[in-house]
Amino acid sequence: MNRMHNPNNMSKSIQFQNLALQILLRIWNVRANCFALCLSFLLLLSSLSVSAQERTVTGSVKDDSGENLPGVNIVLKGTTQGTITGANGDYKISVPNDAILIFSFLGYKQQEVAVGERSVIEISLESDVSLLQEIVVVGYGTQKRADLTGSVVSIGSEKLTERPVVNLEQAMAGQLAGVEISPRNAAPGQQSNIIIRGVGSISAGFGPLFVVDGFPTDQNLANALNPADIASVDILKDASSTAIYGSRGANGVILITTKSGKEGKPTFNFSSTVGVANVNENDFFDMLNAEEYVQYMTEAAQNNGAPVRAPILNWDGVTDTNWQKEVFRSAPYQNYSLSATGGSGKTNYSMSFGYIDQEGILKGTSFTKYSVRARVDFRPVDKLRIGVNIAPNYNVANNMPDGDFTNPFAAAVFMPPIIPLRMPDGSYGDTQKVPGVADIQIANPLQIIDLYEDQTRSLLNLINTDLEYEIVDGLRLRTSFGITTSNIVNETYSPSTLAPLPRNPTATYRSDDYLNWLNENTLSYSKAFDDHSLNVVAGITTQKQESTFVRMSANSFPTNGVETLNGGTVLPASSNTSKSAWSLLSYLARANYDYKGKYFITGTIRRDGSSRFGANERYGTFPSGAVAWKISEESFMKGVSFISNAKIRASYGKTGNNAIADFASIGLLTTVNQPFGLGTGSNNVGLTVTSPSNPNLTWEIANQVDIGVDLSLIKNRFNLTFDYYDKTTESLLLNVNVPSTTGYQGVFTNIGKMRTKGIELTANFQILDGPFKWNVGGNLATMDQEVLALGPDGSPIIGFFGTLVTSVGGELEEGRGLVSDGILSQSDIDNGYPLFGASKAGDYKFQDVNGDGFVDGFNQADGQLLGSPNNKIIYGITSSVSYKNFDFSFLIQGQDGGSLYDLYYQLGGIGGGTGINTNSFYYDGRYISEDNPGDGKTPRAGYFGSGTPNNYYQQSTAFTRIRNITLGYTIPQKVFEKTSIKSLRAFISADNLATYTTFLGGNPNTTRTGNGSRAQSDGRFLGLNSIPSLPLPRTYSLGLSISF
Amino acid sequence: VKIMKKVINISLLSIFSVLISCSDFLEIPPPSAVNAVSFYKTESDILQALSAAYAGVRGVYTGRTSGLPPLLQLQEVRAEDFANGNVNDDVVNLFQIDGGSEWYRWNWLDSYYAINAANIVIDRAPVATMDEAMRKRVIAEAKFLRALIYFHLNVDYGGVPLVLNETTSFENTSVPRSTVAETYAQIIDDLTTAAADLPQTYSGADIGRVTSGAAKGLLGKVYLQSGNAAAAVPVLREVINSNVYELLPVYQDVFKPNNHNNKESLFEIQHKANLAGSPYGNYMATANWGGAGQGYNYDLPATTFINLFDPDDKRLVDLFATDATGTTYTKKYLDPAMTVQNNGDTNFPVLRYADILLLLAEALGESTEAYGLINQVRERAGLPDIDGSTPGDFIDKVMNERRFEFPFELQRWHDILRMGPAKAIALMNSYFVSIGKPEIVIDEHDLLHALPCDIIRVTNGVVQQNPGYPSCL
Repeated sequence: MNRMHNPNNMSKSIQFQNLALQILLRIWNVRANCFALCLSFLLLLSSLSVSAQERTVTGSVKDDSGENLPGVNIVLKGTTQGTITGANGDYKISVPNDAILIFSFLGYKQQEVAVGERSVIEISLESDVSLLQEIVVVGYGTQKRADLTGSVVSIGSEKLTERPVVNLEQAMAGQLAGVEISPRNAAPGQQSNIIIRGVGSISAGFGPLFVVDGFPTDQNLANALNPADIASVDILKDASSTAIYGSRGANGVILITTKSGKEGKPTFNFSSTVGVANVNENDFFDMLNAEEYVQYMTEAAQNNGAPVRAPILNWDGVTDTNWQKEVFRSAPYQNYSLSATGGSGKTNYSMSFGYIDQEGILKGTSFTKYSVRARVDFRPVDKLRIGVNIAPNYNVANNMPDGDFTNPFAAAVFMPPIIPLRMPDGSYGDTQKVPGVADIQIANPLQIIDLYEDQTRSLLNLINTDLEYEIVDGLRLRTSFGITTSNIVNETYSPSTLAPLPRNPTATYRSDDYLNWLNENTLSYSKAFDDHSLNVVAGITTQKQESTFVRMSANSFPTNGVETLNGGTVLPASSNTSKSAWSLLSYLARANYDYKGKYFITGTIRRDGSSRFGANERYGTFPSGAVAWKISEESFMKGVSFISNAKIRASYGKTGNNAIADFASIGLLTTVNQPFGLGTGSNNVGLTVTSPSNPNLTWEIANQVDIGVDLSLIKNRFNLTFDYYDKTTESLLLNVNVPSTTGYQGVFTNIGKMRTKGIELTANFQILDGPFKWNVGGNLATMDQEVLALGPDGSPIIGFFGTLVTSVGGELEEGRGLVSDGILSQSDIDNGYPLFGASKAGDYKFQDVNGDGFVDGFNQADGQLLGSPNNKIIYGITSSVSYKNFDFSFLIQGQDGGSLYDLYYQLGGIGGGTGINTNSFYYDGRYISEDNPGDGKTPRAGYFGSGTPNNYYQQSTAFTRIRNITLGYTIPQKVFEKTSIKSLRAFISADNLATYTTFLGGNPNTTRTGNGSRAQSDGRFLGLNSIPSLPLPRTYSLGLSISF
Repeated sequence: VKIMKKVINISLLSIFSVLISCSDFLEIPPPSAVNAVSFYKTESDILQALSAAYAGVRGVYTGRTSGLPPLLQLQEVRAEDFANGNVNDDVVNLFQIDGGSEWYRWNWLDSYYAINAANIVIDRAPVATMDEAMRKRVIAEAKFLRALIYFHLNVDYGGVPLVLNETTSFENTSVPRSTVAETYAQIIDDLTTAAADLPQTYSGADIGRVTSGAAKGLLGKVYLQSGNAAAAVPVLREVINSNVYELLPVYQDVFKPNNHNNKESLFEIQHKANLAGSPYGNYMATANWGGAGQGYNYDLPATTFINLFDPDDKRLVDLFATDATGTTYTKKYLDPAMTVQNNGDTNFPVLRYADILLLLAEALGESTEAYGLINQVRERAGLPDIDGSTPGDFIDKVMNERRFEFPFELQRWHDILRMGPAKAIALMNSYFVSIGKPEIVIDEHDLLHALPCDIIRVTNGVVQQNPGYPSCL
């Protein structure tokens, strides 16, 4: 692969680059405001002149121990011209006068050598430990990755900006072992569920703690950050790492560090992405077309001896609306970010502005975000640093309703195809316009899109100031004070003209206001002496949040012209304001010690006092410990040259989960009316107990073991991290039945227990280095969950009308239903096959589990557990290839082993009984007659029993997705030599190109709507898919990033 | 060093500013709900808690837990004159119900919720800052409310766990059942206190609270139900001799939506449209009755019962209406002005003067005085007087009068029980024969309802099932 370059080649090469750039820029040139910029680049390029005088330099490259280094990349500075060393470390390169050669090799420090008059240059490269010097943020401090004793995965800023991402969640998906990210709703601006090492709680929240620049905050604020502002994201997974966050650490911690200023001249960075998103029609549900629909509904009616619905009899044979196509659109997307960093040394700054404007592929959805950030560090004297970090953010999301039949996508899926998009008079076609077509009235999805209003506006603020002082060498004091504020307003309006009619026009207004302040005071000390190294941090922190909620609704608007609540009649029963608050007082300490850089030991403890918990259990202590042994530093390993680094670590600790309602431990009284008096009486307001006081209520506790191995081979070209974890969460909050003689039904009690264990593997292999680089990486996590204890009598928790079951020995929210063994034939019935109700030929043949001769209901003896929502394995595969200035990368993401109770099957599976459209799943291969029994799996049309929960409803959520493909081009620095431009990269990128799944339609990786029982979170079920989930957009984008 | 001092000062300041108030820092009173820990301190707090106890008792009648009325099933539909018009719910009527029924679970939740609300007042009032006379009255009111609910439970289930203090902890919450006699003793004790401590009347916006008359009236009924007729006579006489109460001239006026707490009323469940609307009209109407909100069919009169009415009985027209399908239902509690389901202005009678008259007659036994009491009630209904020469046993004559006077007032099943086990069983069995269901034969165990399985399971059998029912364990 030795490449030689001569001046002729070189000019060719430049010509080629020029052409490539022109193409890229032409592609790029979609916006007028970029035009000038593009033009200047072109002028710049055309003004390039090449002067060359050939000379040959030879030599060899050795490492610091004197061994020959093959594969070292040698580049002529300011060009892409270069070569690599051969098997013996030899090289030969043609250079012009005054050339400077750059020698680089992975794992070694880069060296620049001025050629001067020399024709032979022998050099030795110093090994670069900086790779292992990677700094990891660990909560109240930082640590070298090489010295870590816990399990921390990280993602750097380059991963956040190399491809188009709108928020942190998108950037993380598929990249981090053991971190599962699933969108709640694929509409833009909506949050995802983030689960680290599995869901570890039954009634309380299961999301991780987010910490932005040291400020423990919530997902809203974290997700609002402009990805371009983020320097690194570090995710703490094991107890040793999360115990420093005590009662909030059990679900993992996501630490986000934003970019700070560096000493030097001002550097401006402008990046921009424009793109367009489309729906991938493979994600559509395969619904019946009009002909099939008419056939199926006719058969269904005949099979049941019912009259065929008139609109089906009267179908014109022409109308065949593909509703799903109608609700999606090509959605443009743009994202701009401008930042400036620099500093005098005394004052360093980093400032940025970001703007995102994104339309959703579902018509009527969109998202706009404006973010500003300013971070200034001031050093009045050497030992003192004062920092200010201000980050306001404003965003607006327009959304669509979320109901089973009111979401436009859901309405499109279920709407009969024989209804025209528009009626002959031009009005929207819907089920009411074609009377009798269906028993469920569905509005025209386009009408929903046109008429329904749902807007959420969020103003989020993070303001933090800190002061750090080095008292004596190694002893630092840090004090910070910060606040975050969130104001989130949501307004909806559904007008009287929105079908189905008549409709009482309704509007809602809700506002959530949060003020959260934090004070942290820490002392840290680090000291290295002889073979010992010690690092200690201890501190006191206090945090408090106060919130105000406004809930208002009104109806009976006399006109649709006014959509604010003053236009209608405010409903007193659902209009109110309320307040809430919590506070946390914490003491924390951590010590890291290592001996000779071989043996590491970490001890962490945090003591948290929380206002949320009962007076008897207000304080909790969360200790953890970890050890690590860097075997590769041992003398007996020195000879094993292919191992560059090998470390074994083990940790154990206890963390808590305090994600319960703010006043769950305090008995609350609510008002009740009690009239007295003559006539019709007059009212008295009483106060009645609604929830009992529970002074013993306390946090859920996770005890976690983590055993890990970090391994780097072949001079750090192959890196592998392996972790085994085993987490037992106990004192899980459950609403436990109490004797009714107490006056209460149940009381939240810390009683449940569950266990989650699994392995995580992250590997990265730099297969090729040099001008042609090839890197392959992957991550994989497995998860195995078992519920160990529920209430006092161990009885299972039943959810969603008996379809979701959490039982001891099982997993959370397993689906339950009858299991079909095929389709009944008349002879089965004659032979006395156990029947479900009054079954007939063509119906499901259900398993009679208890053998009592007939099939009981799905929630009784013959119901079987059908699967759990937990993914047994999640994985991501990345690969990047670069050749000279071109880079190419892809990301594949997937999951397997989980399944959901999919209500979509039930709604579509009631045999045409309701007239709504059904899936070809129920059409192809259906039983028609004894002579035409179909595929033996699909029941006859009109079989209502296919609507009883059964194994077909439990749908595997396994998928493999090509998440992203990016092709980039970095314009050579030489081009900018005479300009102030420091770097320029352009890329094209495709997101969610394809998904391979058996899931019927929509997005298999989504979380579901529904009214779950969690005390904190948005109340969604884990195991249920309610409405047809929105497909993920397939996005093509063009990006440009420039530093100057 | 100067800077160092400043920095340390700043840090110390920020630490101490928090730590000074450290103990308070974690004590956050809920800003939007009254906190059970800090409430119940003043007279107005206690009065609000007492209102909640009244509302709790209302919840027993209306069905607080489920929004459906268990008492109608237990005390009306169980008797022969009434039926639940919803086919699947009619198991109570046919004695095909056991402890697994939600009606029982709901009834216990409703009942003990009210008892706990009364217990809160009884426990907290003695230590609250309040007027002594008011303290005495408030405790007496709460004791009456507690006694009323225990009376229902004792008759329906026969001896129940006696919980006499507010629930403040969830440890050792399994309380075994007391005997029927122990339960009666507690009820009588509470009512005796209430009768002594309560005023005879109230004025203005307090009218409708428990009076000494109500306590005495209920005490008389309790004595009679417990088989102690002799003790019932003097307390019932006291009520009559107080001259506070009288029969209203028109039967229908007793239940009128705008005639709350009238002269005939000793105690009513208080309702008010929009704030605490009355659901009984809808509960007892048929689905298609045609007025505001659907009816629930929960307490329909049996045809055999309607046919028994004397055609001249004025109550016949006051009680019944027929819907479009020809099904008869009661309009007794239907508020004509009602526009929204379950939102009538009608109060529900718990104890009224006609009841006192007939209870005293029953307690006295055959006598001129007793016939005189019965005839007061008959005269209002437009029926001729009866006396010793009228055919039939005296007890049947009293009970018959009660049957026509109090339908839909939760009386009939308890009346049947007062006739004694043998008579009650014979009466029900002959009724089943008469309606062509001779296969239904009840025995003594059927005179008590089953306890909800829920309470038996949660207490691990500390609370035991009534004989003759599946144990639930």
